Formats: sequence, C-alpha cells, structure tokens
Amino acid sequence: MSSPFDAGPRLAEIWANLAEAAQRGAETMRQQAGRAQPPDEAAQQRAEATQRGAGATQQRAGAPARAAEALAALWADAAQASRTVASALAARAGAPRPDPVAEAGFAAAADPRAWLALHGAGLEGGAAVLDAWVGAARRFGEALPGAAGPDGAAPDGKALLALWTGIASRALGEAQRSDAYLQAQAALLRAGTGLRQSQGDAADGWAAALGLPTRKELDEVHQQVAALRREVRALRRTAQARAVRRREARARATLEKQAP
Amino acid sequence: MTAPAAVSAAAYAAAISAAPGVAETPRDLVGQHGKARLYRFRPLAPRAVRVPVLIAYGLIGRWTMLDLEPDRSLVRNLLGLGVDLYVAEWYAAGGTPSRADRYDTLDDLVCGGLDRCVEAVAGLAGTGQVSLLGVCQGGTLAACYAALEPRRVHALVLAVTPIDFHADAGVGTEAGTEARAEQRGVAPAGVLGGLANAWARSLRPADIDALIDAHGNLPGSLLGGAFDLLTPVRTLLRTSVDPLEAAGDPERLSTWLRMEQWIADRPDHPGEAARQWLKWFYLENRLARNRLRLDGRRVELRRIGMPVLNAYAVDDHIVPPATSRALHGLVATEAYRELALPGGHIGAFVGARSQPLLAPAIAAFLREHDKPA
Repeated sequence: MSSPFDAGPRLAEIWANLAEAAQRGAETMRQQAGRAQPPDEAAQQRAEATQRGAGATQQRAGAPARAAEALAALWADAAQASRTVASALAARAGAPRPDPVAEAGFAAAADPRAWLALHGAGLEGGAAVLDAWVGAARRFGEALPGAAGPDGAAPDGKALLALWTGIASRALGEAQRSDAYLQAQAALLRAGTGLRQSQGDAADGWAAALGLPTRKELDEVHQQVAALRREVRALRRTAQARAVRRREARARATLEKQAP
Repeated sequence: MTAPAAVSAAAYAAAISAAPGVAETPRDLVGQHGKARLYRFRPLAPRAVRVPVLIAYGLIGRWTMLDLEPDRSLVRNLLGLGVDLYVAEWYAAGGTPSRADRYDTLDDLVCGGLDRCVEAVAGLAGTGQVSLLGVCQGGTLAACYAALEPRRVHALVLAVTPIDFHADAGVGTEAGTEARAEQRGVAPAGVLGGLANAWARSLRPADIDALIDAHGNLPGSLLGGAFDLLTPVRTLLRTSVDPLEAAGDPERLSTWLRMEQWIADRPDHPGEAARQWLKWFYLENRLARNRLRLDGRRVELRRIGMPVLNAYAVDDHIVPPATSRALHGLVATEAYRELALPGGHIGAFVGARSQPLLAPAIAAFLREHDKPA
C-alpha cells in the first residue's frame, strides 16, 4: 500500500469478506443446529437433556469443525486487514518503510548464508507459533458445543469472536512463555542480527572502495563527541560543586565575623 | 459489531489520511539543550500547585500519548487542575535519535538532559525544586534522578514504572484480572504477566551486545513488533475488529485513529542506552539491587526521602504491578502512596475509566505536599 487512500477500498473489501465469512459460519452452525433438532417433543427433551449433561450431541459434532473453518477464513482476513491498516497508519505517521524486495535482495547478496540462516530461524519461530494457533483452534472446536444457547442455537458472530479471542489469547500467551518459543525467538533475533552485521560489513566494504567514510569511521567520531560531552558535563559539575563550596565558605566566614 | 456493508471505504481512507493529530494542547518552547527541547504548557486554570511539574518520559514511544486528545489527556486534566506543567522532548530535532546519537547513554539522559531540564524549570519557576512525573521508562529514570539529586526534587510521581525488574516472577494475579484480560484479547496476567521481562531475560548478554552493535540504535520497528507480539490476538483485533466497531461513531473512530497513529510512530531507542536498559535493568536488575551507577555515582533508592505517589495499572502486561510496587520497600520516604488504575499499560492514561482518577489523584497529592507560598 503506497498511501492511506489505497488502503481504504481494500479495507472495505476485507471487512465485507469478513462479514460474509462470519455470516457463512453462523449460517452453517444454525443449519447444523436445526438439523440436530428432533421432530417430536419427547426427542427434543431427550436431546436437550443430553446437551445439558454432555455439552453437545453427536449430531452436532460436525458444527465445530465447520465453524472453526469459517473462523479460520475470517481470521485470515482479519490478519490481512490488520496488516493493511498497520501499513496505512505507519505511512500516516511518517514511519520509515524500507522496500522489502530491495532489502531482501541486498541482504541475500551481502551474505547469502546469513540470509538463509535468518529464514531458517524464521521458519522455526513460525512453527512454534503455528503449534499454538493449532492448539487454540482445537480448544475452540472443543469449546464450541458448550457455547450454544439453551435452545441449541449457535452463538452469534460477536459471541463466537469473543470465545475465539479468549481461547487464542490464553493459548498464545502460554506458548510464548515456553522454553521452545523463547529459544526460537532468541535464535531469530541472533540470525537477524548476524545478517544486519553482514550487511553493515558489505556496505563498509563498498564505502571504503569508493573512498567514502565508512560506518565504523563515523561511529568513531560520534563516540568521541559523546565522550567529550561527558567530560564537559563532569567539568561543569565540578565547577558547580566548587562554586557551592565557595559560597558556603563565604557564608561561614561572614557568620564568624558577625559572631560576638 | 457494525455491519461492514455500511462501512464506506472512501470515508475510512479520508479518515486515516486526515486523522486529527495528537498532543495538541498549546505549549511554548522555553529551553533547549543539544537536541532536547523543553516545553511549558499554557495554563488552563489558575495555579493551584506552586512547585512546577516536569514530565519525564522515556525513550520508548513518545510522551504525546499523555495528550492523546482533549477528552483523553493527562496533560489537559492536570492543567485544568492548576498544575504548572513542563515536558521535555529528548530528540525533538527530527523526532527520533539518529545514528549520531547511538552512543547516548542513560547516564547522559539522567545526569545530562534531565538534570538540565530540572535546572531550567526550577529557574523559570523560581522554586529551586521541581516535582517529577515519570512515566514507564521515564519513571525509572526519574526515580534514578531523584535518588541522585534528592534536594532538587520536591515530589516524585511515578506511573506504570518498573523498579524491580525481577519482581514479576511467581506472582499471582489480582482478582478479576483473568476475565478482563481475555475480554480484551490478551492472555491473563498469570500467563502473560511479565512476558516482556521473560523475553528480555531469555536473551544472553552477548545477544544484546550483538543487536546494538549491528543496528546502532535499537529500531523502533523492532520495539513495536515486540510489543505487538506480546498480545498477538489483541494486535489483530486492534486493527481489524476495533475500527469496524468504531465505524458508526465518529468520536470513537477518531480516538482509535489517534491511538493507532501514536502506536505507529515509534522512535528508535539510542543504542547504548538500550544496551544499558536491557542488560543493567532487565537482566541484572541493578536498580533494585542497589548496584546501579550513573556517571560514576551510585543510585541508591533509599535516598528518596521526598513524597512519592506510585501509580500502576492493574491489567498492565508490560510493567506488571509487582515490578512497580516493589518501590515501597526500597525508598526512605514515609509519605509513600500507591494508586491502582483500571486498564492496561496505555489504558491507564487514555482509558475512559482512568480519566476521572489519575489526574485528580496526582493534583491532590501535589497540593497536599506543595511548598507554602
């Protein structure tokens, strides 16, 4: 997205898809719930009793899977919408946005091994997260029957989303504290850092070849300036302390003179 | 949820493009030191507190969150209660530290920038002292300053401030936190609480060194991404479902847009200061262990003898309450008070429920401990 104006139509399209997906999911569940209703009153009472006791009837077993499928589609759209809006807002805020294609090309050229290492770490990190999402989807499927209303009706879209949000938040939160996830994140960070370092070295190589100041040389200058500022601050503090001591000494002397 | 069909694409595009700005409360430039700029807010009510208040915001995010919009503004609320308010922007020129600032340290910020601002504000007000209002990382740095220069700080107000970075380990959740968290799309505090701490602690010192050496400054995008990952579900809802729900309400949409602009506008963090922050505070917990030195001087929290108001957010997933509340056992003051705010790390400032609580509590505290005329 190059501008927020580009984001608007795409957003509306995504939201429309999102609503359709939600409607489809809800409709599927209603149909499933409807089919599960036995025709006579006695059977209905039996079904309700079963539902109260076990949480779900065998006839409704297919509904969670369909609802989860609909929700997955919905969530994929939500994720896309999220990225689109975030991109538009970053543009609005004036945040720097590197060209990912050019950056990837440069990164791969600078150090293909580091680039591959980063992507490998990314995949491993992604796998750790994916496990959590899959676990959340499974828990969601298990929780769905219990979320049905007292008459067996499927929950509406908002209730469905709230249920999913709660389950996914907990699942992701638990996963993110696991050793596997923390190690994967640390490995991803190390790989990204390694690639960045390689890029810097490559850029410095080009700068040196062209007779331009390198990043390292500029950093040395900045480091010296920072050190000089600290020396000035220390001198200033020393001077202030001396001035205070002189003032106090003068005051003492005055008091001593005035003393009888 | 509003029907998506009713959402006008053009209206959204226009709204994002022409979104109202943040931090629009009038203020005047009253001083500058290097790249730092010191501003004084124009009063909105007769002065009720004599000692001026300097907002000390950190380097993670911008202070503008404190003045998000007229109805959700700690700045406006304090001005309306007669507080003389100043704020420092550490890297006003360009808005974000450049590579030239990568060697700026926390010593430079606390003993340099903050010290000069305190001196300037005290000089302008003619009070000799200021009260500090420190927020998040800025609160930690304000506490460091108050410990180093206790005679210059009249009162210390901290909000969502980490002090003991290891205090979150093994701490249970407060009543009601779980349900509230799940409704908001974040994991319950028992699961998530201190996740930022857990992540930071999972890094090796060598990882942090390599990160800073490679990037120079810690990229704001990296920080923002980490915060988004802390609450992945909420992050997705925030930019998909939330605007949908706000679509039919212009005020709500405007608030959402302002908040999102603030989130998207995340500056880089000066490299050396980030190295210190991650290693000294998150890994080594030097401040709480009384092992922190800035400019060669030991930072001893027990030297804080001035009145302290410590506000924390009960649903804070970035700075768990325990890490803030640990301050009580580390300072010498007897005039120590805590304020529990509803909401999370940011909601404590911009949430509707905290608006009638935070500013009045701060103003009352400052009035209670004000200097006589």
